[in-house]
Amino acid sequence: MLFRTIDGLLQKAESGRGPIRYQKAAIQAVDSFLRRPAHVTKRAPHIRDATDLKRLMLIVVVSLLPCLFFGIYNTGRLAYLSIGDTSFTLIDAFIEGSIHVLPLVIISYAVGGGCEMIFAQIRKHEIAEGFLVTGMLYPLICPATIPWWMFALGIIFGVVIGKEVFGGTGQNVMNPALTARAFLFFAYPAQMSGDIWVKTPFTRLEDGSFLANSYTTIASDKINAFISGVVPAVDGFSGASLLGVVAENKPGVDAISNFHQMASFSDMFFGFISGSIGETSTLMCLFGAAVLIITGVGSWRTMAGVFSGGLVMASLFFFGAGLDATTILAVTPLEHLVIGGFAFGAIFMATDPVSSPLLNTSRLIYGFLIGCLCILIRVINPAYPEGMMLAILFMNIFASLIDHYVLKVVKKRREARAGF
Amino acid sequence: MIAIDHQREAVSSVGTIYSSKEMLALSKDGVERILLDSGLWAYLDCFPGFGLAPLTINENGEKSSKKIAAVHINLVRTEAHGPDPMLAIGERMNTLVAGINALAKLGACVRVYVQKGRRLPSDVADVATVIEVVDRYPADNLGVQSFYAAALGKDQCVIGADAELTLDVGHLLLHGHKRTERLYCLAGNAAKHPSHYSGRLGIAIGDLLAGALTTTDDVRLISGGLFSGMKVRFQDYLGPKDLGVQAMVEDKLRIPFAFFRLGADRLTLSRTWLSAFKNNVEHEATTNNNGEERACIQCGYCIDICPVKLMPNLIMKAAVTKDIERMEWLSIEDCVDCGLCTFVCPSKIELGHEIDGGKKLIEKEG
Repeated sequence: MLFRTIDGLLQKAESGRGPIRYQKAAIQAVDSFLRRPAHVTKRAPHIRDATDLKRLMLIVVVSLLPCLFFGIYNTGRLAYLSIGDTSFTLIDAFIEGSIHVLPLVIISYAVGGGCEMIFAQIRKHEIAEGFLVTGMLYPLICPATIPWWMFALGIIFGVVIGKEVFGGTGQNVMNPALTARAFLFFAYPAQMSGDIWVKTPFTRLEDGSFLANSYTTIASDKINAFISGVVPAVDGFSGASLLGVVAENKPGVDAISNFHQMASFSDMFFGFISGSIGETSTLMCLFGAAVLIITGVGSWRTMAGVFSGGLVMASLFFFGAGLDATTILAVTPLEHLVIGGFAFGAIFMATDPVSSPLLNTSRLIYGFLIGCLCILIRVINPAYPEGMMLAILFMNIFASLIDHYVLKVVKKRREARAGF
Repeated sequence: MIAIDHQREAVSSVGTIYSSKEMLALSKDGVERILLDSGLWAYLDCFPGFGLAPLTINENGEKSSKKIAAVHINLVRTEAHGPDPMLAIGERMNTLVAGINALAKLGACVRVYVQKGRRLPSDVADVATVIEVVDRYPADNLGVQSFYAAALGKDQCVIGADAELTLDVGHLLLHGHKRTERLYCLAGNAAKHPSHYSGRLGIAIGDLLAGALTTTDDVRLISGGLFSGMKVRFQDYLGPKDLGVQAMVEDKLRIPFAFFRLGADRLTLSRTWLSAFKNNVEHEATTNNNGEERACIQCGYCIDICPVKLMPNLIMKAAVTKDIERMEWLSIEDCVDCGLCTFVCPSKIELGHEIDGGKKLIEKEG
């Protein structure tokens, strides 16, 4: 029944009449997504591996689901905590998180997918599958508080400038989802940094008073009770991100104690901290990593490279600074790996095959440099407490250069063996 | 299946019959002459390049610049559904040994490839190095064998002969005329009874397939293996290097939600389907492309699978842009045409075809 409808639509679109012909690319995409295409091989080899891009991208999306679900829960959880409520259930938090996170996922797919469709239609080729992953990654690296219009603008920038102007999927130099986020980060710094991580069910007005939001599933009497001061705030709760707190470098501020008061190591590891929607839980990222490594879709070399690079660089700073340091230098190497977007970037962003280098050795080097650079930016550059996004984008640009030199070494070895 | 009519069997002329002593005394030039006169020279494989095996003195009377570094006698067949070389040899071990002895004169180094566990007569080891290989594609590929055996210098090449050709050479020397029988395979999902068939050289495919297929519409006939074979038609004939016919029904089936399934029976070398984690899965190999062609995403699967450690996707890009210098820098001449890069490519790019185009371009431009 469904397939008969698609067949009918496709026929109409291909006849080239009526407004439906402008949707040909979209209908084809849906059709080939739901059913295996009828194409047969033209020449030897006469048989082909069952794996295609759709399958690869689907595996990546599946590997992102733990992060998405935890992100939804954590968004809801923080919303409840922000009004001093600690008696919510898992389902309460999940529902509250859903109404904030799911619209972002839908906007990401609809707006970004729309851009893809327009380009595919103009270029007269099929819609490439790469966007399945970009569309899922992008909401997970944005704060839950981001205005929808801004979020949509970001993904348009990411898809068009980050990918399509280079020629589409497979041709882009930088990761489109990170390009989108970097665009927002520099274009709207006020909405992308600072105390923006918790989607509170109330708005703080300019005169310091609060106003309850209507777009929430939390009962209004609970919100009002907090606003009127009947319910006190949860002890130690703050909407700031850990990196923001520890990066504060002012005389008299013991940044590292503030940092340790905010969250224990296990909180950081399990993800009960504030941050971008999908990045907080290192554990969930590791589940995703397991899926990617077992299926062979993500390069374990890149991941191993990033983690070891981060560990080495963070150790240098930590042991170099001595034990009496009070700034970000005193964050232990292991803590560096579980806060901010480190794990998420290492596992899902750095492993993007298009923007990372091609050869296995290069991927190790590339990963290692991302890890080093991320910690370097975090510790040395006070303007950007989160270094992962910039580290990956920076190394994306150098990916081909790494490949270039590794290729030369490979070539030399080949020649040495051949005895030319 | 095909009754050979001995009365009408054409035996054109009986040439010289060699005794074992005379055979041992044959020189390189002598073997070359015999093979040239009988026409068997044309069926020797040569790697690298497309051409014939190089003669000591070429047709223009000049010394050939290419030198034969090694002779490979290939008694393994790793591609699915090819006739088993050991079955073709059968009782004719003496003929085989005679063939190996003769071919051994052509190069300084002679290697005989045999499947692990198979036994060969001890006198083979006197003239050649016997190398046991595992039964895994493309272990029977001349280029792959050469890559792992020893490095080739400039202007060097290896030549290869399979079991049937070696038998032909041995038969010619022992009996003075050319062998005409062949062991063919008929396989594929459209074949009623997939099996070995013995027939004669140059059999019409139509004769071989008469009544042997379950269906004849939308069937692809492949001469050779699934990875390297050629499409043929009913009216074609099987030549000396053909192994038989695989008849495959064109698989245009549109499996609903194919990409979302667990895929316990999918044929794959990746690990994205459940079948990759099960042992002894019976896959049905079909001609479906399993996806549409997309841009290269640099996943690196082709690099991991390449048996001679090339970078197929980089060579492909150089070939598409006709960048000869880059193709040569990437050692395009080492490509052995195994087709594995094309098989694994998730973007369904015809890497092998593009690389082949690149090789032909280099050949043309000199």
